[in-house]
Amino acid sequence: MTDVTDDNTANDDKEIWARIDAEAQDLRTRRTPLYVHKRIMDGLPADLYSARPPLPWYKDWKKLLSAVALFILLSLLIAAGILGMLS
Amino acid sequence: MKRTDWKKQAKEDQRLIRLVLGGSREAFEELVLRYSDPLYRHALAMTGSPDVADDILQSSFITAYHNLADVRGRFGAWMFMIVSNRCRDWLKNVRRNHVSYDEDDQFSRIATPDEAFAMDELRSDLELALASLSVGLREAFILRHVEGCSYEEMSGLLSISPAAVKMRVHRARDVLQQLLKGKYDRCN
Repeated sequence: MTDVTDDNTANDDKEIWARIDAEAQDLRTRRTPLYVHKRIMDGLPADLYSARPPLPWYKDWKKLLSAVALFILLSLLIAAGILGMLS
Repeated sequence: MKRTDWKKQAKEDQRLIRLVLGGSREAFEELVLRYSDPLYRHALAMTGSPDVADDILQSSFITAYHNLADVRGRFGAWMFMIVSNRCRDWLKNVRRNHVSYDEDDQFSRIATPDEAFAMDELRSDLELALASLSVGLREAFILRHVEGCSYEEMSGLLSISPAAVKMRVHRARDVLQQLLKGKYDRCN
């Protein structure tokens, strides 16, 4: 913590700065009253950042894309198998 | 605070902010607990009124919660800006309305430091003398000598050059010394 007597101060002013420092020290000990913490938390809107539930697979474009790609791949494999059996 | 500590703290703050944006109120409470004390002290020293400091702190954190997605850089510095602006706005309103804060604000009616000393014996001499300083000098003194900020940190928080910060701190010290010397001499 920065002492208020740390700068160039004439000797006859040292006493006054010692008193000011003691009062500054009192100010440093002040803490937020607990009821203020409570008031802050109680004052927050309830659903501003509410956690969103995960989307079902058919609404999640990444999952949907993967499913379509898998479907196309399987279709191609089945088609190739059928063509192989016929030839 | 060292620059490495800043970075570490900023990283941790960003992690908490992501959690809040994901729906965690506990993460926001953690931010409140982390930053409320220095901000409360600042509001209290700037306004001189515990009730006003309570209100400023509460409304500042709620504003911060609403705008959390906009935080760029350090959360602490961003919160300081919000609280500091609210204190300045409040002080401006007090000066404009001069007589309407009889209970909350002892200083709205104060004309001279001598009157200030006589009006409120519960508050420390330093607090009363601080109220006589201009907003800029008061802010500089509090950050430097109550919160222990470095000139570099203060420069970032107040958006002025380190040289200007130093000048404000020295000017604040000079004025306080004059004010309190008279007071202490009378007491001895």
